[in-house]
Amino acid sequence: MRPAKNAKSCRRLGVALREMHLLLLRIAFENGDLAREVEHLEQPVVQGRTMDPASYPLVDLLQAEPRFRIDPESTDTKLVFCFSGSGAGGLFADTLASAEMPASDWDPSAYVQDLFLERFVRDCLQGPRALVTTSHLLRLVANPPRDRASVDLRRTVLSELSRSQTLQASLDQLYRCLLRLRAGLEGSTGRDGLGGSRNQLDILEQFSGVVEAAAEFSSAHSELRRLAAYAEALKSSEGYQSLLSLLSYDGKMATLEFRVQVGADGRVRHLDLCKVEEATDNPFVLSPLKRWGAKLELLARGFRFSDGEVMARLLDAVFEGVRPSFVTLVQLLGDVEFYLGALRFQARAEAAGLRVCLPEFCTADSARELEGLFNPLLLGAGVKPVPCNLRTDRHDTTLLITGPNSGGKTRLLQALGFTQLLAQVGLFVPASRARLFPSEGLVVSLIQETAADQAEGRLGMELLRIRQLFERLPVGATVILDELCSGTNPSEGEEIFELVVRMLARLRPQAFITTHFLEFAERLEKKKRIEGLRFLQVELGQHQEPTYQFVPGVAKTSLANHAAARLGVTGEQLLGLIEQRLLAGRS
Amino acid sequence: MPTLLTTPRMSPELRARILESLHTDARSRAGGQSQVQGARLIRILIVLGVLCLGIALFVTFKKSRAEFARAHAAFLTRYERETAVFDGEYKKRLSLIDALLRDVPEKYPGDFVDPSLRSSASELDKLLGEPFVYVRGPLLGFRRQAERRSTWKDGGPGAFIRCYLLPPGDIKESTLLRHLGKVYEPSAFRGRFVNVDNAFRALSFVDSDFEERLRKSTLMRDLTGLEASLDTAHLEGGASFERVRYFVYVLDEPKSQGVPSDFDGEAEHFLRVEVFDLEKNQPLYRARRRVDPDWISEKSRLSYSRQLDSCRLAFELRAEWDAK
Repeated sequence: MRPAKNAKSCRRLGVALREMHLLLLRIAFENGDLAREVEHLEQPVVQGRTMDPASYPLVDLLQAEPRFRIDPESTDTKLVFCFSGSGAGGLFADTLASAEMPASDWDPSAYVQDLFLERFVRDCLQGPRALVTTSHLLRLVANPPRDRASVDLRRTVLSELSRSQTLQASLDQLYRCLLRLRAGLEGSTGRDGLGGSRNQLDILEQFSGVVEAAAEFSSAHSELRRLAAYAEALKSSEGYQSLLSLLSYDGKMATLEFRVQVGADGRVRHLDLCKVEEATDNPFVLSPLKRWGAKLELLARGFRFSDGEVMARLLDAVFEGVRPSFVTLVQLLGDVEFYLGALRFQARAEAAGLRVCLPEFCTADSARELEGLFNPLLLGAGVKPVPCNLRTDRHDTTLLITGPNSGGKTRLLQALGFTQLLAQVGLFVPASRARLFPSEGLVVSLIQETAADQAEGRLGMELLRIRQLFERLPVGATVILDELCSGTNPSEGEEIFELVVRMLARLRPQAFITTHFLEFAERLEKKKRIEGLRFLQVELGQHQEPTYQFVPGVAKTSLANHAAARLGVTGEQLLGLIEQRLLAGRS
Repeated sequence: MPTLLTTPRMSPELRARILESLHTDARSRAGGQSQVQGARLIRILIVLGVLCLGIALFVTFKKSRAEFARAHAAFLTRYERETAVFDGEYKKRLSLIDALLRDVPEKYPGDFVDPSLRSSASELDKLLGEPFVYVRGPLLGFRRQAERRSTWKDGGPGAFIRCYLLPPGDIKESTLLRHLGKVYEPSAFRGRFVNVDNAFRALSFVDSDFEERLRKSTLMRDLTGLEASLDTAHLEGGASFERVRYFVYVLDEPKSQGVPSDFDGEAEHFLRVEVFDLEKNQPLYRARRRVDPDWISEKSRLSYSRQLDSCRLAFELRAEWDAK
């Protein structure tokens, strides 16, 4: 059951939407019909038919316990307006953008920005077609569900999808059908040859296409079966049968067979009507006399005397029979984008010669194993990342990572953050094999650019970050800190560094920290003053170049001179530049 | 309240929804404006007016159909009555005439008189007392169908048959000239000669798709057009052929080479006269005689050479018959 609080907020949302609709109509239209509509909307809302939210059919592919994350009642209302040609557009995007997320213990503000999650969604999960709304998928990825069963559901679905090309094709087909339905509903203008009915018929046909596409999942073993169950239940309903009959009536009311006689010059000389076959078993087929009678009846009842009016009444009745089943499709579109995004990430990685996997979850005291770990942001940017392996003897440790500049430390931190987040969202992680312990949260703090309006200096800002970290860090969370205390002199920085690491250990985190305090790190390693501290360094090649692999230990040098040489900051290079400037000044 | 929008084939739930849709549409149920609008009384009056108009149109239509059915039946009866004579026997006799002219032998087969006519000269007169078909033309001028049709169309009873049926008192030129004036009076021999061209045209009309079009016609406009076609076809002209039993044809053999012709084409040549019984399909009389306009005065030869020659031959043949 939906909590009462949700129902209340949904009602408020409904009223707000109605007011917005009223305002838009007032601004945009001043002709007679729409003016009347505005007038009518100003009257109290008709309370004729309210549906019990539980009576809306529901397909939820993201949660073990199916639940509406959108407001079914207000979505239903918006759908009716869209179907009638009065929709303001944005039904799907707005509804999904405001959809609730599955309950999560993680605080997205602690990592969304520093992990560049939006860029990851845009570059790795989005396909050639734009997402209905990026924010919905971003929020789904940023909110790992508290419910472990929901994570398992997503992993099972993804596992099955990744194994079956047929199901992938079916999911893609379902997505395309949903997009067509969305285009039909949001693009409905209510003005066409049949007095608005043509577009409504198209919408019903698109809905039928969605149902047929959903029925393709009957062979699935994961919770994709929910789609087939939805389709089967709908297909056996009277409302859907009526819909099919109406579509058949629209498409094939009668069949005429002609025999055409063509002369030597290609002109039609004779035309015989051989056979007329009327679909008399279709419930919507009326005799010509009855059709005229029906039009007259509608005129007497207050409708227009037009060809489309009879169809409009039938459409209204048929739509009413399947209307509740439309609502869940808005949510379903977001769910399908979630899985298609995951499959696109997998395909993109494979195209770059990398592999993704669904990780294995283990206990905190077991070893963390990551093989073929890569940074998905590099993949998204079109750079082929170098995968690395990483192993620690247990999870609840603090891992100090040292190494030369541009050795891949920050990229490793990002990859570790993504791995933990995506694993707990139920998606593929950027590694060919992964063994992880579920974390209670994630805090990522990478070095940030200086802001013009920042209140403190670099050290002050860093200390503020540390303060905020301890304010919101739950026990057993994953912490990722890049170059801690790099904003002050090494002796004072080392003190703060040791304090932070020592305090962090009390919260039993899975911490990953990079630093350039090499001597300090070496001392920590030798003296083993802090329990649970592990050390990892960037591996160097024969010519002291970073291999982007990581091995146990503390780096001996940051190879700043290498970076300086690479970037043209040696003494010779600077002297050369100075001479050039002096010569330019003389001339 | 029942509605015409539902059918018995619909499910009860759908019927209920259609009924509800007539009172409130989806938009109004969702809090918007219903499409239902306008003063109901005015709309009901409009519908009643349309219904009355519809009923009036329907009654008028039914009446017009009944009227058409009557007219159609009457016209069909008329057509069947007027074309009843154009049966197989009719066509057979018409074909026989055509074949006789087409296949006339170049070599004369010899004179012939049916034994039934030998008993009395008046037998032939009696026989020709009834309407019969007559034609005169060149011996080899009927080989092609177009030639035969042209002769039927343009030809008519000439001086020979007229003088045979109403013989002159003697063969003096002056007597014959006066007599020709008498036999060519418009009232002379009315109803005696039957025009075969009318028969052919009537038969062509009957054999066309006219009857099929008539039977398939569903509009009064078409019926009127068909009636006009039937009127202009003049089937009564063709129907007179039905009573015809005898066919008289006179064939001019080609003149000999070097023989001069008069202004009207008359020259010394042989004429074949044949009377044929179409019913029995046998000749009754056949004769071949020479005509020569040499006896005609210069004055008359300018204009009446052929008529005088033909009239004289008719007189001589009759005299010859009487002598027997």
